[in-house]
Amino acid sequence: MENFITGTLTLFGDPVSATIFVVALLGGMFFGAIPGVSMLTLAAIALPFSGNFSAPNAIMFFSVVYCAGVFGGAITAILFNIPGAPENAPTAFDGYPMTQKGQAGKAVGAAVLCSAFGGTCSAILMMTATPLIANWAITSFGPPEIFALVFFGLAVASSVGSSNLWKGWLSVFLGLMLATIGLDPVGGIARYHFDLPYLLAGIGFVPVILGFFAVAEVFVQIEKRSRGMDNSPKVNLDFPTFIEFWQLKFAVVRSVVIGFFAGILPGIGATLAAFMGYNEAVRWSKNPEKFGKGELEGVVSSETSNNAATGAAMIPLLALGLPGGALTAMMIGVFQIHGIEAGPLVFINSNDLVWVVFSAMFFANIAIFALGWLQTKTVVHLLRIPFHLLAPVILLMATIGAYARRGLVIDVIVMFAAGIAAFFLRRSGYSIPGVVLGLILGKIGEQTFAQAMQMISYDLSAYLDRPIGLILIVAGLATLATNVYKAVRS
Amino acid sequence: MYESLAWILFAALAYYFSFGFEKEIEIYKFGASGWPRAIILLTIIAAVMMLFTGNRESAIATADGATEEEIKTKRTLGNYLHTSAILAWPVLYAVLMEKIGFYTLTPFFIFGFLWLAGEHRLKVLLMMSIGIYVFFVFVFGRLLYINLPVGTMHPFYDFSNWLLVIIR
Repeated sequence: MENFITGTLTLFGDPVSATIFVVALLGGMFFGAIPGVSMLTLAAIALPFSGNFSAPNAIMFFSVVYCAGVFGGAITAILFNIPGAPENAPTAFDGYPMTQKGQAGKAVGAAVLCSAFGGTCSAILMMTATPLIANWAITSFGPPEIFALVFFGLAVASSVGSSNLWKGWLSVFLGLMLATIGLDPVGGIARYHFDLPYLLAGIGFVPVILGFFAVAEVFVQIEKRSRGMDNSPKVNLDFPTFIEFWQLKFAVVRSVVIGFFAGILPGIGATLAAFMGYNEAVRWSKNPEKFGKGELEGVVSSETSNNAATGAAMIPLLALGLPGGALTAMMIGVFQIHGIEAGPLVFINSNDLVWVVFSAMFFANIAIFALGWLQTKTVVHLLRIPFHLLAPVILLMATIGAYARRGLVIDVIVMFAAGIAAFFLRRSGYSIPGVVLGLILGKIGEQTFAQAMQMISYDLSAYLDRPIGLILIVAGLATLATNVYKAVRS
Repeated sequence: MYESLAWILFAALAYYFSFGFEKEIEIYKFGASGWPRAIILLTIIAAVMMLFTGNRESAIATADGATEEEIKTKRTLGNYLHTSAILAWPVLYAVLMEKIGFYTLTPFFIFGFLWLAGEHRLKVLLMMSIGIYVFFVFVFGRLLYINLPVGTMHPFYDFSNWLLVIIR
């Protein structure tokens, strides 16, 4: 507690630190809300200048950008079906249908509250148990366990958003196939590249996700309008009630736990945390068929999980010097610029730095609640603009988002092609969340499968000695069997 | 049935092309083609199951209450052509962007898409096209300094650079 108070006083007692905190908070929320121009863009812009700040201020800036950026992308995901970043994609699954049903205020309100709650819980856990949790997670979760986690995630994903089980699975397999394009993760052998250099790097995830969500949605809505089926969403600014939240208490707690542990694992991070949180919400729900059609629990689970992952991602970074994702990898660079080595010694040699970061992340999540509430009361009014006038704005934002990341026009073409594909897949009852999940988990899944097989010498019985992996595999198989049984029986 | 067959054809093509990278990896016995082929096999199983269990599905209710069935009932040749134009216009925009550039092409894209979206009032079309264009050029070209395609062809390239000099 003493350390926390000292960190807080250092943060807000110094006008420079306080200004950097506010700039990082607003910048993270703003950049997080613009597709393609994500919090990573802001972090990359700031990286060369971080040497001009003191070490605590520089690290604090990046940690606050991380918290605020993960939240920022939820707003556009809910209002316009444009996830600001991949970790906000599951938020769009139910957030956007809620907007169409005239519940935008409720969806954004839930995102604000749950982002703040998930992030704050994560920050508190981070402050209390960093060294202990980091050691446990790193030693207990190897490639076999991460592959088991991916398998479990895929087993659940097949039941989200499709018109029948087989279409759900085919959607997931399509995503997995798309993920195989490019270099294989073990030998670096080029696959399905058709002599096109662009495909050697694999399918760009950002263009595809923008195409699947934003572009496809514009196509669907404009087609409906042209056939006289225009049904503009009603603007509603109601926050979720306390009773609604109380009913979702287990989902919130579960998502905090999932997000926190997913955030600790190197290479997993907020994106997978959000998908896992969403998947678990579907799996535990008494009405899983309601997900993807505007279920509040979907928004709550996704936003709680991805924000819970932000604080957790700092644990391996600070305690072991292991970055969990792109932004935390940049933070390693900031440590190096300031001549500090991230790892266990940072708690002894730079204790003030650690506690300024912890305090800043805690207060950033509190601030998200206040600023997010303000956003709910203002940004939602954008929905009053007729959709056909908003459509070119959405397409242009998506175009810039797809192009800006790598500066390639072909990314824009891929995005529109993905949009057309998603337009027809949606019409035929396939699951867009399933395809996206397959695409995300495909790369991680293949890599960890290959590593796991080499580790256990291709002997699957080795899983019997790895209880965490075994539980996840059995849970995945049980989910799979239940779904197949239900499908065949119906 | 056709959907299942299309998936099986897709899987067969993916399998055929997997011979292009069927190379051994010394440290990994499944090689580069093992994982894709496992997915292909699973795809075929799911497609066959869909074929045999029947493609049973209820009308998929969209969030705003309209169903895909309702959309299907309103399909006419005119509607097909209109939908094709809605899908093709952005692709054309993207394909031409490399040569003509974002700054020259975008006002025409906005104008055309608004027209396809059902806005036929000329005054609104012009005002919206110019307004959205100016907003995007100012925010992304000046405030955020994002480099967007300037085109490779004369005089579009010259126009884009002239505009960037003016706004920056």
